[in-house]
Amino acid sequence: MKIPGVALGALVVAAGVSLYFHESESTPTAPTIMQSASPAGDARVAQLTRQVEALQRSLSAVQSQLASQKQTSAPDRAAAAKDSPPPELDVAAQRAQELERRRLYMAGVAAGFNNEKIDPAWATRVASRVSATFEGNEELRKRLRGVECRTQTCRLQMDEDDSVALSRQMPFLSLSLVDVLPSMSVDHIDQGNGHSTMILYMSSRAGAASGAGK
Amino acid sequence: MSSRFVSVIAIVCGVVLCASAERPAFATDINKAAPQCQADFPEAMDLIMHENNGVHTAPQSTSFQWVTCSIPRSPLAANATSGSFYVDGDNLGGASTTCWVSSYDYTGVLLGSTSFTTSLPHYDMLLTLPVAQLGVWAYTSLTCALPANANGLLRGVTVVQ
Repeated sequence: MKIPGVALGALVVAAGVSLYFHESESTPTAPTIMQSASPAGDARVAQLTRQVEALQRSLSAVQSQLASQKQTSAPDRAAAAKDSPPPELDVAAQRAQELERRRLYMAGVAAGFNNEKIDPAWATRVASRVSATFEGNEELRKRLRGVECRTQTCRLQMDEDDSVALSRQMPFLSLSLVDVLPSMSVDHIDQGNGHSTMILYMSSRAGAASGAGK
Repeated sequence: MSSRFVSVIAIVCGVVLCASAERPAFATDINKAAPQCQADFPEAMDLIMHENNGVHTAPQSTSFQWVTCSIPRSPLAANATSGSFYVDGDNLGGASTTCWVSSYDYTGVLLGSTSFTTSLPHYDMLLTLPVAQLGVWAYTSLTCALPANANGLLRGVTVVQ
């Protein structure tokens, strides 16, 4: 809507200015009877001329403002055009694109974990906390398939199915480990039998900060 | 003269059209007050109190209680690398509050979460999730464990867009 509105406005202004001055230029030596015969008419023309000049100044100001806005937002638009899907991309394609982005992100998380060195003291202490959390919750305990901790990340593998039983336990898991593993990224691997494996990469890296700079 | 008058009218119309052209729309922050938050479990429904400035546990609640709040949001900007959320509230008498923001895919798959725990008397916590967990089709929610005996007020959550 914005561009057509501006274009239409500019077009109408251009047409108006052109028509106004075209008429002035085409009849420079043949003033109308009203102009020559009526002082009131001359005053009116002078008034209209002043109005036109004022409008031209307004138009110039609007044009320079628009040019400034275009200049400011040009890098953003270029970045958006580069990163965002084209408008004709349908929902299915957009979702597939997001799935791929997530797959790449999780591949990066997994690679980061695999490359993480092991801090024996931290790993032992935090793995013990994780085990204690699972031992204290029957639903979590029976699903746990493995825990591995390194320097700042633990990888937990759990069985999951279509029931909501596991998701109901996630608040307890988060609450129990918030002081040592506050953030998690989750991957899901389909086992092809109605079950899948949930892989949680839980990290000690703070996902939170006090919002003093708000 | 009349054609000049028409010209002037045309110029006026043009200037008005230019000046009133729509400005580009940008996503803006969304504030969500906590009174909309609901108890997670049916047995806790009578132990959660909704005030006009937030939500807290009832005075007779002897343990912490869970509440979950929906977080309305718009798709992130195309060049964003993460999304942020401010969570605000109060703790009384040294109590502590734990909250986390979770993001689920439209299919219900948990994508990730980030959390904090604090005993600050007044907290204003910033939580961040990577863009890969905040896709256009993802749903986000805030879950908090509110301290017992009305010792904490969850005021709300702001999505930074």
